[in-house]
Amino acid sequence: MTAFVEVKQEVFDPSVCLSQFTGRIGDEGAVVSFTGRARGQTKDGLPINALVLESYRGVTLASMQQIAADAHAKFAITASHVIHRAGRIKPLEAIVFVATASPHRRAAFEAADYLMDRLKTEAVFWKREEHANGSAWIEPTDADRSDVARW
Amino acid sequence: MNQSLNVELCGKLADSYGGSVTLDISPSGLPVRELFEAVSSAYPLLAPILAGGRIRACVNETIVPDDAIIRQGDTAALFPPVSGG
Repeated sequence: MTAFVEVKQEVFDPSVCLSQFTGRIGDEGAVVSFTGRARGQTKDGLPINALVLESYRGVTLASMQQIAADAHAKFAITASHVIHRAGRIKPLEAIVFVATASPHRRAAFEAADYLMDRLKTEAVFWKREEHANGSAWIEPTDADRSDVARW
Repeated sequence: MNQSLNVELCGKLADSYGGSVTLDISPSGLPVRELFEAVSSAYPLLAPILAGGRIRACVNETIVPDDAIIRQGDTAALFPPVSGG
């Protein structure tokens, strides 16, 4: 298994990450990737100035490594790459990138979906949206919890 | 002899008192549930959120159950619900 997990403080280009991922893997027939971007508006329609993502020491990376290890144990994927931003993120910058590879497509699709559901609810980050009227902490929604409960 | 324990406050827990608070703990340490009570007593603005049952303690970079013992010299933090992605 090859699981590569990173926390990045700086902006990254998901297309470059995907290209690097496909360059590293072998002859797998399926590659799936997902990119999550910072939204430009709050749920109430206020323009967002920035999303601030706090992490905690080595615990954040360890939580991501555990999630990736679980994905490799659960699905027939041969490689994965998970990148998560921390710090101050501007609208439309990538927050999270997930790529998976497998001999056939189903495992790669499902593993990417699983990784995102777990990251949304279990990766050790705290998110705060900053907007013109102040800021608000963002916690997992009921939908996020039901998504992860599927697995 | 009691020592001061620094408790880091993560996410929204830092809104009221900043990123950390201090408590005195005895050489025998104290269980996590008593840490919650001590923080709530000394820093009452944190009491409602600590009473909500959704805060976890992290000791020396490991998330621990409520019966874990926190000892002098440990690195302690309190985590509200996490959210990545």
